[in-house]
Amino acid sequence: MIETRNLTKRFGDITAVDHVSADIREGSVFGLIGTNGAGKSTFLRLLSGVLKPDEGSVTIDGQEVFEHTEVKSRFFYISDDQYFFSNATPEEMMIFYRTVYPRFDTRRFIHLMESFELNRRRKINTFSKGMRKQVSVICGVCAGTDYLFCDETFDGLDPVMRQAVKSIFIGDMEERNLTPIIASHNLRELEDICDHVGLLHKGGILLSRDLDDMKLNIHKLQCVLRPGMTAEDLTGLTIMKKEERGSLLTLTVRGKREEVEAALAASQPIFAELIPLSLEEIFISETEVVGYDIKKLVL
Amino acid sequence: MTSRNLCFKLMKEDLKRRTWTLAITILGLLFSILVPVALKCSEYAERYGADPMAPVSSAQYRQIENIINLAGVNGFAIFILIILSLLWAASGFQYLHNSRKVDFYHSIPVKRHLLFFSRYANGILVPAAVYLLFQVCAAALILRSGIPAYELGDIWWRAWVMNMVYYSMLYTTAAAAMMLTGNLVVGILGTGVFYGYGPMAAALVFGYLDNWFETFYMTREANDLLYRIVQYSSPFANYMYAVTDLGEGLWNFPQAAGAAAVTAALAMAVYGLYRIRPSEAAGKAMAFPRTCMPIKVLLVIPAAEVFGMFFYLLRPTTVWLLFGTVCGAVLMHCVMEIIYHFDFRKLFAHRICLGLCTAFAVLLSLAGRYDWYGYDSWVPDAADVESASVQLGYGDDWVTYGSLEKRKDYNGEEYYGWDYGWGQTEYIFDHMQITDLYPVLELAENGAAAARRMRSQAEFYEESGYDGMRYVVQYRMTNGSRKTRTYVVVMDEAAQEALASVHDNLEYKTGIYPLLQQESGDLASVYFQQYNRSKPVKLDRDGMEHLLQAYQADLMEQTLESRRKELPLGTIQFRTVQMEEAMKWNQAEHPYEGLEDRCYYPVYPSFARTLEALEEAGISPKLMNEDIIESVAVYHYAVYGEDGTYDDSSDTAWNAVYKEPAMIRELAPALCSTAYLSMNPYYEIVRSGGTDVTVTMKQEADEAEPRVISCELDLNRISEETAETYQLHPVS
Repeated sequence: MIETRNLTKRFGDITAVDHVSADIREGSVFGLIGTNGAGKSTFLRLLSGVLKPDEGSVTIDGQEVFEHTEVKSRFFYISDDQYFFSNATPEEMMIFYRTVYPRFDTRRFIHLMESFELNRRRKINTFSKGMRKQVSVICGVCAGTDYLFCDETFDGLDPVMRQAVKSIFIGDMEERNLTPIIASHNLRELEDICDHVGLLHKGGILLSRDLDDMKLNIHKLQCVLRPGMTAEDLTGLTIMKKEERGSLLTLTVRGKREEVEAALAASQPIFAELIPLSLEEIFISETEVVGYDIKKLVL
Repeated sequence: MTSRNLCFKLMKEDLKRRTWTLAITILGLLFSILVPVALKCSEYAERYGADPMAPVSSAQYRQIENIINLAGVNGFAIFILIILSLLWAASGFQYLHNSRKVDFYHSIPVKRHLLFFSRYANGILVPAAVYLLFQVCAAALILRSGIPAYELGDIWWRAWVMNMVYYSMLYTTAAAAMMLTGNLVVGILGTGVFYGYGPMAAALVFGYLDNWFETFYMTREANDLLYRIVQYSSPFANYMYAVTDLGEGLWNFPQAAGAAAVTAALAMAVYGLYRIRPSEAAGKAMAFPRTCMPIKVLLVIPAAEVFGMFFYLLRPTTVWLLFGTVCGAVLMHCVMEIIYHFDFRKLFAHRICLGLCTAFAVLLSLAGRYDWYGYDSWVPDAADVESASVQLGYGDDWVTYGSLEKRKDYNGEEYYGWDYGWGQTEYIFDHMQITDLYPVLELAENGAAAARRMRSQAEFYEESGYDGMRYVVQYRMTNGSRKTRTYVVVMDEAAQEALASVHDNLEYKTGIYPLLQQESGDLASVYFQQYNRSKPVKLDRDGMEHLLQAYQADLMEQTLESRRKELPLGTIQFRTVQMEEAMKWNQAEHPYEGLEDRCYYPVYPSFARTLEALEEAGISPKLMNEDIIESVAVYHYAVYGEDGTYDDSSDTAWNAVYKEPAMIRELAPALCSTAYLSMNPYYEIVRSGGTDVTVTMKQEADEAEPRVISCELDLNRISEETAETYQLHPVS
């Protein structure tokens, strides 16, 4: 399990990651979502030992990551803009990775390259952005590590490839308990693959929860209240967001479905319906609570 | 996988990534060593290879030497190695300047020290291997061309060791610059700073002293200090000094070992920097923000001073000095800020620092300009001075200082040469101890006052136009320290009196004439020279000793007053045993060293004891007269008018040759040998303007041809009528 405790990283006056504590269990897909500049990439660079924390710690199964080769051999980091040696071919990258990752699966690498219809003897700098992403993902999964840190890895992949990569991840999770940790702001991409989500905002972690729990604990409520009643009269509901269109009230509320339903029932609305939230809506709601108002940006 | 195996694999992988660097290394060294050696060897083999047993001619020897130098101190190869040191350091650690590469290398399960050592080692081992290979090939080619092995010797591998030691030092320095910076261009600039800052800063400090302090004198100690700072404050300068030594055949092993030790220490420091270098530094100008301010200050203030002094030289006023200083400070500060921020708009960032630096630089400039240190006006209290050494500007620069030294010629054969040492001033500082300080300090006060006047008028001595005498004085203070100053003394009456007191002081004479230290036991022979003809003084040992003592006594008693009135009759040389032996040794192969011309001293008409002793030995110095002069040729290159103007155009020049004894008799009293004039700068002469005079002496029986002597005419010694007859005009 990866644990971060009070993880902090500052770049001059900017605190990119601010006392983040999170647990990432093995065998699940951890989605790291956040606004632009939230610190997702910095968090991944801290996890991968590229950056040294100013405060706090990053451990994998209790061992510090920074400058610990044994620990580092348990993960593969795919950065947002992965570096390949100049004029190198995928095969040459494979040879290098094989040197440093003892469990690198050469046969699988060749097989995946063929499956993705990538020429492993062609120079990578002649590949498109999406093809380079594919090469980096193939290198990552073939490294045979327990964890795969992906920074915006799906960005640039076409839908078919995205599905293919997801399939590979799922297969590896089943076969060898791979734990992908995926940072992205494309929430729709993460929604159907992530088991657990960490929401970063301005360097701090807003929440870190199982996606199902998260979805079960936040709801969109559309209702028409009896005349003379306002949203404030709905006692027992934790309202995060409120919208009124005529008599139709749209609320984003926190709490379990049963609790929300019970509170609604007590108010006896004319009409009420609970609608599940998408991850994107959850993200917007949660960030709005801490002042990231999307309407301001849109306006 | 063991660390060692992984390190080798990483080295191999790194080399794969840097094949272009390897290619440049091979090409550079190939065309700087192997190709020139092959070319020269082929030429040599064609010319001299047919008969390797034939005696070596000087042309052949020169060619051998040229070829061997290509495998030894090869300037082009050294230049290539300097470039390669920067290239290997930059290509090896450039990944630290790119965040993508940093993410890649620092996320893989490899210890950073292995990454460091694999790259660092490649940067030394690969060029070393290529260079060694070419050196071996060059040595083989040289031997194959027919050049004997003993001529080649071990220079090829010594040069390899020496060059690789200093290459490693330069390479490690460049690597340090790469560690301290986060951008390749800034890293290269940083390397330039590391290579050159020390010598330039030292030169600036001494330039500041020399520029602002009229009385600053560069002593041997100060010169040594500057030399040492330049040599040891820059790896580049250190390398150049070592190359010079090797070029002179000096294999300075301790120095090379010292350089290797410094390189090792530097490598450890670089590794330390690598360890603490934050990955996020990639792409920034400086890897360690804390270094920004000190580096900036260390560059801004010297730049301000250089600009200030430069503008002051162009226009010596305080306004232009301040303009230059402020310009230098602001420009350098702005450049540094632009580099630090990679943003032109940030040129005035850190205004407080800019203000403080500029203020400090202005203070430094003004402190120099107005001598707030009181350096020039300082004259010690007599009570604080134990003794003093002085050099008078009119001085006796004809005196031979130094000693014999054994040297080796190109054939490795020993011969004697003359080592002039540090010259007159330093000899005086070492040997003169004047305890009668009153006239010494009076001249110093005079000079300090002149310096103050010069400073207040912002003029230079050269432009001042007044009659001044350069006067260097070193005080031995009672606290053991030494203080040295140089002045231009205004020769007023008091100064003339003080000058005479100093000149006539026996401690002064003992300190300026090495002959007065010479002991009779060391005496081998005596020679007397008059009008370019030197003759041995035939005396037995007692006679020689007596002559030496007589001369020493005359010299000690000579006064400035008498020197103003007379010129030497001839010169005398007291050869030591060592000189005689050296001349005999040199006679066959190195007669051109001219040892026989050293250590001549003037014999004045007032040297009664000396002249008497010479008379006893059968030598009677002759005055210039018609008995010994064949002719006097006066070349009038300028024609004087009655109003004092003169025309020196070539069509008005004319030549007159006087052979008539009567004419010679008239002119002879005025004839002064220029050689003897140069031995007495105090002599009060009224020169004849616009004339060049040569005197042809009568040929003596044992001479192959008559001697021709360059002379000047002293119109003080002839009547005005005679001067007019011969169209001679006095000049001041």
